[in-house]
Amino acid sequence: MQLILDKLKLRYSRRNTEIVKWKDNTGGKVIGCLPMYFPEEFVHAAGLLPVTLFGDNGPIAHANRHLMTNACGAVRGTFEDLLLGKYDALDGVAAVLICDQVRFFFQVWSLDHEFGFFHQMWRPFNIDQSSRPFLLNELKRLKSALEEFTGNAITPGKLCGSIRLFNETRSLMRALNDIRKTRPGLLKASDLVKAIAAGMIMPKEEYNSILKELITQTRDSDYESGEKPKVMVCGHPCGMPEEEILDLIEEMGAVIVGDDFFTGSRYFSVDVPCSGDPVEAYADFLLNLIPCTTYHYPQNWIGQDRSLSTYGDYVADYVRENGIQGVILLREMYCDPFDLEFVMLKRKLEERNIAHITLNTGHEAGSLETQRTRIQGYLEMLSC
Amino acid sequence: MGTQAKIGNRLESQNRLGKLIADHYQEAREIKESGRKPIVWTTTAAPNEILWAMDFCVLFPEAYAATCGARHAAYRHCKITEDKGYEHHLCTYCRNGLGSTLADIEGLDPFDPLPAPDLLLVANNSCSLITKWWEHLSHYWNVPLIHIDTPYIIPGVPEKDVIGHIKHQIGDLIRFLEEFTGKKFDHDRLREVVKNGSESAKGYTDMMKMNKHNPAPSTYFDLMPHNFPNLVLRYKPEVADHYRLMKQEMNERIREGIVPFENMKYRVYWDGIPYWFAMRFLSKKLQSLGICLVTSAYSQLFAFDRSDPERPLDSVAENTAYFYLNRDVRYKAEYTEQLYRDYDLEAGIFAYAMTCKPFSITMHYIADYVQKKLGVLSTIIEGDLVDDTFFDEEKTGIRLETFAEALESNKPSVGKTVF
Amino acid sequence: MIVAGVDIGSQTSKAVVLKGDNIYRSALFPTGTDLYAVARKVVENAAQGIGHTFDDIQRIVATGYGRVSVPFAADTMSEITCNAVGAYHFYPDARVIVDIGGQDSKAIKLNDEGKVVNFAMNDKCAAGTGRFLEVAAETLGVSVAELAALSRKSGNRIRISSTCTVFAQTEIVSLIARRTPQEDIAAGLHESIVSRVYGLVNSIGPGDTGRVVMTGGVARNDAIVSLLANAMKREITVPEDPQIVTAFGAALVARSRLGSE
Repeated sequence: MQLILDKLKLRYSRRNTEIVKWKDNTGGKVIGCLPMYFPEEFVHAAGLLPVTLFGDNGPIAHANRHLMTNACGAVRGTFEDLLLGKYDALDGVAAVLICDQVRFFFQVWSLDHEFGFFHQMWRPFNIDQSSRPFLLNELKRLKSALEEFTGNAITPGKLCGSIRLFNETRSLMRALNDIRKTRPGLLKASDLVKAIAAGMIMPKEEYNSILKELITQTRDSDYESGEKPKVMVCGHPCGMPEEEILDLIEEMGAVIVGDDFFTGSRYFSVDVPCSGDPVEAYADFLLNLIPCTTYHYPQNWIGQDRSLSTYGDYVADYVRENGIQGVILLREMYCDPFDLEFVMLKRKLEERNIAHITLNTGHEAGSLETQRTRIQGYLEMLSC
Repeated sequence: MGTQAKIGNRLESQNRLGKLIADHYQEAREIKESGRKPIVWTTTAAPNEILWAMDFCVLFPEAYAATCGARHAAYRHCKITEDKGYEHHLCTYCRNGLGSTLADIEGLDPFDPLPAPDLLLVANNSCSLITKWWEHLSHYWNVPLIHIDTPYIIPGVPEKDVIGHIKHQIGDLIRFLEEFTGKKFDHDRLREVVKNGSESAKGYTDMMKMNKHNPAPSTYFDLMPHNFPNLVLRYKPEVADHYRLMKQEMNERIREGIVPFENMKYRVYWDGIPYWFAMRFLSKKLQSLGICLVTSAYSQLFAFDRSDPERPLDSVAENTAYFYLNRDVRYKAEYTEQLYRDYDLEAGIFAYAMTCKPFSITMHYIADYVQKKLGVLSTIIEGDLVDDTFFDEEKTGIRLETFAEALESNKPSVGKTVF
Repeated sequence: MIVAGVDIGSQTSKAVVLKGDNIYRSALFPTGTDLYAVARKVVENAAQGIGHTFDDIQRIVATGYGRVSVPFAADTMSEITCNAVGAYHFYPDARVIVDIGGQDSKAIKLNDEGKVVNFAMNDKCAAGTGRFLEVAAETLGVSVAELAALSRKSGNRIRISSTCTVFAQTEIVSLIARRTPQEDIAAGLHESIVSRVYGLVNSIGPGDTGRVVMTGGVARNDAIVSLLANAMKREITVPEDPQIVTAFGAALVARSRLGSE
């Protein structure tokens, strides 16, 4: 089991060189997609390999020349990788413009760099039915752009096939995730996020079979779960959460049984419906994802009976439904949408009487030692 | 130009502007007391003509933030939000607005607070954070919030679709407002509002263009506050007069060879939202260095130049869609370059606002772009919209002095003129 | 029963040795770089105060940022829990604790039983900590105690806008250059640190009843205490020896662990 997990982690850490290898072996083309919500199935249906772009956690040297330093780590990290030439093997890049930072910095990419394929997509910020017609047009526009780039028609059959493949990936990821609810502690959280992320940077066909084997092997494990406080870790909107923090939480005696990470529940919780027109189905899918701090849920704000935070409701319900004792909020520095929602999320957790703590993460986060004190203090508080 | 030039007194239009602003807030307070109209808080480029046509009292928290900044009151409002758990690096327009709201609700003595809203309208064409800001207002005031979700103008997206999507939402907004007020929407009144708006917009644009003249009759900082009438009051017919009279005044200056200050040497572009708390410091500093700020793309935010009484609904939707901040980076870079050409500018000061990402993220790129295209000097200074904790007078002063020395030597060093 | 608590802070290390129910001694040394040596020394020193040696101590609990470097401790526990246990022991009606140490500050909320129900620690930098005052005092060329005395004389408190310790230093230099009176700068500096701490306290939802206790080295600075009391609109209690509360809490934990074995 650990062997497979290590293999997937290695794959993730070598993600940029793996692209070159894949291209050499297959002669195929690769499109880099920025987090989050990009319709990878369309890219796949056009005969291309979609890979999610994760920036490095390393020091930022080149990007600071071009971007203000109070942009989030995810944005600056990916930009740094671009400037370092790590994305040179990509045949194109694409992004859903999920926030102001992604929007503007991605546009900057296109000014100084030549990409064979460059696509900006708009996902409505109003998550309700009134946005559906425009969203549908955006999906059709993506489809035509990919068809033009590849010369391949994205037929409904092909798109349905890709959707089924990706649905299978999501359902396998969910099965893996369920293991940490039924057998807390068997899978380390830091292994799991990387194992999920590996699925976002390699061909799904290959990944799905690895994941099946991994799930089988977990059944053979004789690991016994002890009595440890169960926590949910939230936040860190679209980057890869720091391995060290997740490990620290689990080393200090808690077990992480849920998250809302992009490299976690946010990616695999919902499937694309398989019936009817696949483009229409995809629009429904994008309007039906788990709540996100970046988006607006109009129905909550028009009437009198409003919730503090649709996202907070989601978190609180998840905690209650899964017998979780507390929430650890990871806050990526300079993520404006999350920082604003955070104020309401905290109140929501207080209202629902859910113990929580916040850890700042990212390039300017405090030392691991301070984090250790916070986590220890928090777990002592939970176990009292 | 030079030392013989006559130096202008304060423009009479500045006094008129002061009165327009004071009257607007006075009227709003009176409306709140009498309750004769519902009050709505809105954003700069939401389809506000719809609100005026429905006879709402329409208030702008962003304009209020600028006022609080200029009056050195924003810091206190921002501090209140920090005590409530809002991060220091979040937009200070937003924190000012939430801080004054919290102060108002909790009896903490906010600075000249806006009368409480009955309804909130927000458009995300300026940034995506603003929607969250308005959500928090909706929570604190417990009033309904309508969000106009504005797709970006980006390559490949058919602009008619963008406008269509906005128009569709304006239709929903009108239906909501009819229910909210119990009144039928009056399309004739809308046409009249848009007509006043189009005249005001034209007056505003014409007035701003007077600075194309060399020497400039005014500094940009003198003109900048005059976006207020076109933003907040353009539904009124008298606003066009304000700009007409102002243009006259500037014309007189040009005729008589009057300049705004002594020893004007350089025609310089300003990029970004002004640092409202530091206007006096910056004006004095720039004048002492002979730098005359001439214009800025910032003013384009308040142009509303699509207004057309022949096509009221469409033109309102177009103003929302084509709002400057809803444009992509390439458009902004090219627009800026064109301003340099039209206004014969020789350098630029780019003002980072540390908490405003839409303005600041791409600023370096735009500065680089015009430098490459035109071989002009640029400098970037750091500060913020209304919170002076991000601003260092000493540091900024030194940077501007160095900039002026570089202008003096008039030899942009090859390759790296942005410093 | 003889137990000890040792609190290895970033600047000073504290130990409390507790004998029976209410005989105790404390000791305090600068932390330095050899954490193990200082931990041993400070515990030994406290033990000697009540006529015992290191070897007489039956159980030791370590806390503070250097807690993992104390191999002779039976347990480690976070300074949050220890601080709460200590403060609650002295003041059973304490519901909010504000602790400002050398490099960090924290706010802790307790319930009626003295259990921690919420807490927050300053992050990112030293702006709301004792270090901030030290750096500022150094820049002004006075001691921290003199700084507090100066601030009380101020008639015109100026605002220090920089929230970062390093930038604040630059700001102080330019204020001096502009001949701003020292006492006004001092008052501004105290105001600045209190506003950071006040934000921290608010973030835990301090409620409006129950005693507020302030601990840590900075609690000796009565200018800070009274400014914070004003901001919170509540009285603040400072224990006789505010620096040893956390070590005391650790000793209490050691005692209860020993008793339950």
